[in-house]
Amino acid sequence: MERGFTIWFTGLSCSGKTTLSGWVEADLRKRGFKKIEVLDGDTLRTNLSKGLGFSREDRDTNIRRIGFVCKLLSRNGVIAIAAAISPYREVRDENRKEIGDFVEVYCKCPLEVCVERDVKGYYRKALGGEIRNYTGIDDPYEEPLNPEVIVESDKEKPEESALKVIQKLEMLGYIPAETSVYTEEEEEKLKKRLEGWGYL
Amino acid sequence: MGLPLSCLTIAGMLMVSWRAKKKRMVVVGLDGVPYDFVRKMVDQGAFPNFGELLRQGSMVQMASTIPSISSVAWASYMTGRNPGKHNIYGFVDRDPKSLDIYIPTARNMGCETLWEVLSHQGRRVLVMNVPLTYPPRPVNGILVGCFLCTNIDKVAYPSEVSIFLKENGYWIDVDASKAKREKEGFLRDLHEALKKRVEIGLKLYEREKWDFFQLHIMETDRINHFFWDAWEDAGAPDREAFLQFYGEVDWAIGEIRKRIDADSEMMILSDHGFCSVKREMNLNLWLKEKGYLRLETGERKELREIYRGSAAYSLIPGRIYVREKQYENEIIERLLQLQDPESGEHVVQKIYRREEIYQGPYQGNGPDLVAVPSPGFDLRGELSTTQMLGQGGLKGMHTGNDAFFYLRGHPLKTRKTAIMDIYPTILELMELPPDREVDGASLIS
Repeated sequence: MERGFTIWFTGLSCSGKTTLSGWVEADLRKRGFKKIEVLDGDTLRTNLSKGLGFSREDRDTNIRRIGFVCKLLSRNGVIAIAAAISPYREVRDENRKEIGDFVEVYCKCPLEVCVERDVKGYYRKALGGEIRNYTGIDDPYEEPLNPEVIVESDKEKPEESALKVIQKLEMLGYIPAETSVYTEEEEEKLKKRLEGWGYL
Repeated sequence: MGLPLSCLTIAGMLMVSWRAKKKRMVVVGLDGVPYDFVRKMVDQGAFPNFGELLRQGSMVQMASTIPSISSVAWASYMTGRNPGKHNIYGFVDRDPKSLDIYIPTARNMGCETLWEVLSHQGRRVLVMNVPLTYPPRPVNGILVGCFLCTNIDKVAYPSEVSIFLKENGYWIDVDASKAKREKEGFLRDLHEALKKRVEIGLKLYEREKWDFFQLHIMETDRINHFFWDAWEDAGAPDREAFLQFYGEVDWAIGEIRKRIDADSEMMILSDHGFCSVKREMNLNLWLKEKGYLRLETGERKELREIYRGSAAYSLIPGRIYVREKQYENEIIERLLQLQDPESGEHVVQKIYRREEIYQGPYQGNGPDLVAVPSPGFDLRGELSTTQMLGQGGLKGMHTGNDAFFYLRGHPLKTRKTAIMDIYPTILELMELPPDREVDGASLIS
């Protein structure tokens, strides 16, 4: 059975979580991983978390539920990819503790860039007072203190950010390293060099 | 209405003065040079330039990493972190499932390096030849990678620097195999590689703008591996050649010292010490003899070819991976009892469990146990040999507690010093914000 784990994308609305989760999923499938499940915060609010609002309590319940599903998937060898604003540090860290094999990806993006993007039109509504408790406008977003990866969608192309995530998964031993730094010839030469110094 | 001219002039002067105050730093790395050796060379008058520097600063003995391997030690130097946070445990590592061997490079480094942090702070860096800097990761400045590179066209960032290096006859590394077949030729190569590295480093020093300059001399480790007996035995035939080489190392320090202005900071350090090899001890063959490691029938040379049910295996130097945890205590006890059949000396002086020495997100990639040998016992792991205890071609081996750290113009804290302390020290000297994740602490008194 493949080793399951959870990749948790957090960040403001329109910071690139959904886009990047799609890129990472595609990269993992290209590498032959078949058991992958993407849990997108927006989609889950129409089923798993239907009826929950945007109070601190409801937001925490939503994130706990997504975390619980990720835990079940991960322990059964599935790669769970969650993309949710998950604004509160405490409940994100609670999920980290519960799941164990947890890779937090902070989609860092300046609020003004997110507002500019406003794909869903919610920022405009929040700024106009039509909706309340909107993260970044009148509700807080607590940045992760020690995320495994920080990506910056205003500075990086999605494929660059996805590579950062994939390389981190390799380094953490969740997926095997695929790209070698060396050509076969270079590697042979280097192995001889290291043997000569007694390092191999 | 704009500001009066006088205000702008004052602002401009303040700016100039702030810029002028920005601390510059020069670091010289002398790979594998022991503290005790430096002291003796200075006392004997064989290190006149280093001796002059000692009068202007402080030098302390420094602990390396566990294991005391250059890639691990310099990774801890450039991050201020233990291997559990930077992910480098040796010059070789293995995929835990397939047991395929791979060579960790800068790509496996799990956190930012000193020069990346400096780059983000707008400081320009010029770094040459520090172990584990290949492939070169982008910096604000120039980075010439280390001997993990075998193709000079790929050794530098930005890549155009490779053209300059080639034109000037830069050496990435010398050929170790030459040491066994052509000693004089090997020594000539060492002199030439050192001379070129220093000349080219100084050319870049003078023609480039930089705030942080680091030149790493690897040739010291190279000569020590094959000629360390010439230091410990005053009557050894290669004594003069050995001392002559170190005379050139001191010349290099003098050349750098001449160029540094009084306001710049300067440090010199090594990453581990050295001692003579008494005997090589093959841990994999020991594990096999005791029944913890099983080889499939026939000749096996690769780790991936071992019997999959094996309880334990080892990677050099002294890294032990225990697959069947119930044997861990037993392995520790038996290995600590292992004695040299001739001298009766204990081969291993201490064994650390992973959790004692590695903490951080990459802890799981580290070995379960690390055996620290008694001085002179070189812990090997080749599967292709049949002799558990023997004598190889290397004369010198690394030691863990005898590296050195020198700093000009500042008293140092009188406490046990470790290589992880250098990065926070540099941040403080360069007046940069402290890094909260470090495992070391600044040495500035």
